[in-house]
Amino acid sequence: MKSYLKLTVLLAFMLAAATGCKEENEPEGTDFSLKMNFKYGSQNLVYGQEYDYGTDSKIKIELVRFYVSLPELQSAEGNWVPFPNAYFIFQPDNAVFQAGKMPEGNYTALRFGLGVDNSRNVQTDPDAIPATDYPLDSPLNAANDMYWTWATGYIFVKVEGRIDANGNGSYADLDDKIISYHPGVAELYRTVSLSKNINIGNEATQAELTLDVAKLFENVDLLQYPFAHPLNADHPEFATARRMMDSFVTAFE
Amino acid sequence: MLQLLNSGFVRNQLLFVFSLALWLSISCKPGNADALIIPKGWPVPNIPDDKAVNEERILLGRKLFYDPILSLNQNVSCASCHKPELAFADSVPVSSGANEKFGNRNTPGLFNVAWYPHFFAEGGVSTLELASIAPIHNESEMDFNIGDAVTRLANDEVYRQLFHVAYDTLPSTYTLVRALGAFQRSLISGNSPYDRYLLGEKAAISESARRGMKLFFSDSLACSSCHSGFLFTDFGFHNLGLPANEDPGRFLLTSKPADKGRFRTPSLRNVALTAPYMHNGSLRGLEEVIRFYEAGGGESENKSTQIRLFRLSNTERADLLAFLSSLTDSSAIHNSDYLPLDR
Repeated sequence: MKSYLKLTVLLAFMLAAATGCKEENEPEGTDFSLKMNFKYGSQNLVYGQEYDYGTDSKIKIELVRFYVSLPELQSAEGNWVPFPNAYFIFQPDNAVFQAGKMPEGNYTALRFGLGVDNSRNVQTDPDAIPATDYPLDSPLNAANDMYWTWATGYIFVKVEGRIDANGNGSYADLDDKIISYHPGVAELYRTVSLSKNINIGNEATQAELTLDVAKLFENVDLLQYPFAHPLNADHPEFATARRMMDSFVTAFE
Repeated sequence: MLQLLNSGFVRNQLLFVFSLALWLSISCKPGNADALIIPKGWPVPNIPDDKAVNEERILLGRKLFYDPILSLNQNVSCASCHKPELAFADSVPVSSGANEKFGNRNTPGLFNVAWYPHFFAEGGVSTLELASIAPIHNESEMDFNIGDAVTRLANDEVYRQLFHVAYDTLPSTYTLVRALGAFQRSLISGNSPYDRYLLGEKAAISESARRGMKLFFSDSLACSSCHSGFLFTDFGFHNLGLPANEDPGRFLLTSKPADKGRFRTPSLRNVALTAPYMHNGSLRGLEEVIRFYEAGGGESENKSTQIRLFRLSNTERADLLAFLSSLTDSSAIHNSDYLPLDR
């Protein structure tokens, strides 16, 4: 009887240890990734390709990069499930975000922060981890060139390009503009919410979104305001960048 | 035993032994600044645990500081602009970097940065470690990327070993900026003739320098209202009336109109070695700087009310110059621990 009891206790411990190990080493769920497609109006976005801008001008986009923070999927029951990997920088040549393992199920919505949230931004939280102290492969490392090196905090978005104002084929005329938008201020952090049906089964799943870069500037006259690098809310270029960020939220489909 | 403990003598003895043990354990605990030689009378700089300095880390930082490996084309090191013989400043108004592009600010000296509360002329960076990113990334300085620099270091057997010895890990952005910080924190200059004079060596500075010292600290000149403390800076931001159109200084950081044209007060230690002067290097020599202040500074808006007209005789001006020159610490300039390793 005694040895039977001992065996039972031993088995119980082994079982507990085995399930414990399983939880630690093999997170439940299915590999999930989010792919971003980039377009300009009705065309695919290609760096350096010319697109119409207004009636007379042409535009070339040369850089689009943006931070995504704390993405989550909403289950059919209404619960928000965070991605295990909470940060990513999307850009045309690095457009697939490996989110980690997500629980199987039907999801109906997606939301994420545009920019770097306050908990990770030394601009708002002096105790946040400095941008040099993340591993080199982390999106939050300063090596990603999305950081105010001479000041403090992350640059949320970089969009750069050029405008040929009179559409004559030259980008070096007096009226032509170099476009550079680098908003990097906590007040311009935005949350994007999208309805989207995503079914995650037991095989790796990828969802896709498309960003229309033309929409970023639909409320900004780039010929008048080609440049906005605000790093605080009192900055002269803050209002321009805010218009771009507010449009950014609506530019996904 | 209880009886013994109740005896006042034994109790006091035990108390003494315990206090001694406690004191010893506290004083024996290795401090984060133990590897630094702090001048007499100066406070120990506050160094957080994760940035603790030791000889191996300083040595690694020193090698990195003089090594062009941190620049894109491997042709510029930190020391290309922060020259040890010039108190880690440069001799030109603005320095040029990896692509022979010029920056827009005069290179600041690096002595005593262990005590600085913020970095750069607008004060936007609060740690020495984070201040290392900008020169590595800036296209008119090293034009590189801190991650690419780490990759380059990780492919170098010597650096792999040095990082292992100093930090027990491979090169990373975490350890790179800390090693550079460790060396920069070790750059201490507090043994000028003026310092020796303060410690009682009356003949360390000339009669003229002593008169200049009185002028410097006088209410009428009020130099020391901003150039205050043991580093001769209040670490505040002031507008001297220099044109703010090209570089609005702290305004870049805060966007507050009152900050237009304000720049951080520089330390005056070793100032005689760091010409030219002002944030843009627009004043060639110290005499020109003194005459600039005599004239009540520049003309731009927002000029600080602390900048007032005053008049000096030729002798007084020479005395003030003699005092400023007494802040040159030749022992620091020639300290072999601060120079390249292969020298």
